[in-house]
Amino acid sequence: MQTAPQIQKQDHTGMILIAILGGILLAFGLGKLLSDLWPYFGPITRIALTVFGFLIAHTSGYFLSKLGNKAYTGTIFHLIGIFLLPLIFIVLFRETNSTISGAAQSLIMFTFGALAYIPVAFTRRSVFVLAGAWYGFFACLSLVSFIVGTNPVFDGYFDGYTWLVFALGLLFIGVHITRYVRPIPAFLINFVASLIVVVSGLMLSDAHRRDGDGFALWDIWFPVLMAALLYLGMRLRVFMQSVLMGIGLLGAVMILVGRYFDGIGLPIILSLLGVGLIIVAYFQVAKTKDKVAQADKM
Amino acid sequence: MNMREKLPLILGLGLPVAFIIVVIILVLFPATNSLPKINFVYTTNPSSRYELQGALVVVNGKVTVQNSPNIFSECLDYEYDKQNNVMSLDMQGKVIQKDHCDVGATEKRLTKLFSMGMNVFEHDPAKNESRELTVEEVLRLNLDDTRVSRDGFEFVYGRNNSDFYGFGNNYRQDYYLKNGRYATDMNLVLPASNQYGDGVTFIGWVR
Repeated sequence: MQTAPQIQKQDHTGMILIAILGGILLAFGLGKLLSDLWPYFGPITRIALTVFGFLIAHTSGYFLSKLGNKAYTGTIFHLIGIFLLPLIFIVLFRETNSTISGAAQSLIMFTFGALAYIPVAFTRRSVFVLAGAWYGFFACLSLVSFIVGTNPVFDGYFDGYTWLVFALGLLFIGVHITRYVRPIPAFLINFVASLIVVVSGLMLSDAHRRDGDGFALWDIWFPVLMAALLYLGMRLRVFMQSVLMGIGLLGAVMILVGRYFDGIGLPIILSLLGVGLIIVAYFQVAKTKDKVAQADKM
Repeated sequence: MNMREKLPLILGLGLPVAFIIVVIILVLFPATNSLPKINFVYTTNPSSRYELQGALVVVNGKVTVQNSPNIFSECLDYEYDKQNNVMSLDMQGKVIQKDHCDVGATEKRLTKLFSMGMNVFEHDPAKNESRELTVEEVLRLNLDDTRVSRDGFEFVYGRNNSDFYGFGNNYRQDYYLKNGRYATDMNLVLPASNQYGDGVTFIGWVR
């Protein structure tokens, strides 16, 4: 009796692979056909074709999902639509010889994407949750880029802080929606946001070090932020966030040590940090064991 | 849902919104004590003539022209047989080396640069206007070639304002005078052939 579900599961995996293969072949075939014919089309045909392709992809995706087919074909068509959206705007701006700045073009495109996908993301479908997060994140970034224009006062540091702040926002929104969405989009959003936070933060720390700025507020609050997010990650049992924030904390401390202790205190600081991490991990494990024990008793 | 459960959502939406508000305030109310007043001189060149960039240098306040072999063929180290496109050889089969290059006075060199398409402008930041200079006017100039002017301003390039998806539509180079947290856009005269607005070289501040 136990073999039946297993067979079903295997069939299911095979169908997903076949559907993905089909989607890739379809995209390549259509892409090749269009790129061969592209020079013969006028501007209106080109724009109409991309818009039409976008609508077809999402309509097919919608109906294929409705069929109750578990082969993820619907998701693949939705994905094609999600990737076609930027193409619509690129073709539109090219063919109309638009003179608006690149930042404004990005803003229009990503805002449209955010307005289109974030409302649909409330259906809790993984593909729309990810599309909404993607377009929402870049809509925020391009809004800032549009506001500051070409003003050089907003330099590389500013860009670093921008990515850091929006990635933090995404991280917290990810924490909030974990309860409502499936594990894969929750994991991806958390992973990407954590990665951006750590990388942009470490790059900022390193830039402050290279520019030889004196002791700044940054030197205190970036390691504190890393430690807080590490604690949050352990508290919420988010493995990747904990690992990345641990790396971030180590990196921040090493940059600080390199700046102020000139290599002498490095082994001591590292040992202390290691001991600290072990203690935190120990208490976390102990706590979990307590909870499990309590649950067993009940 | 209690406050504790709402906190991630509040932070997740509040942080970006607060950041955008701060940016808008910084853009609308830039901190400044003074506006730029000192005129500066810059050159432009057609897109096909990048060797003209850096041809002018300021020495002791006066504009001079460097002996760049890319511009003055007289300054090549070796004699060159243009007809056969090879280096000229002497009777022993050795490359003929030149011991000096004489391309005449600064005025003659400048005239050659101008004939190759270089333009020199003096920009008045108070009016935000550029005026084209003649060879004689360039020679009369008295310049400071320091990076930062006497009133604390610096000539800088604008931020890259191209799109995020990397197709580079409508990218354009802008030029600013910047002092601390204040920067003002300069309306420079750009050659039509440089469609991205590049090909501008800063020379110095007028004394």
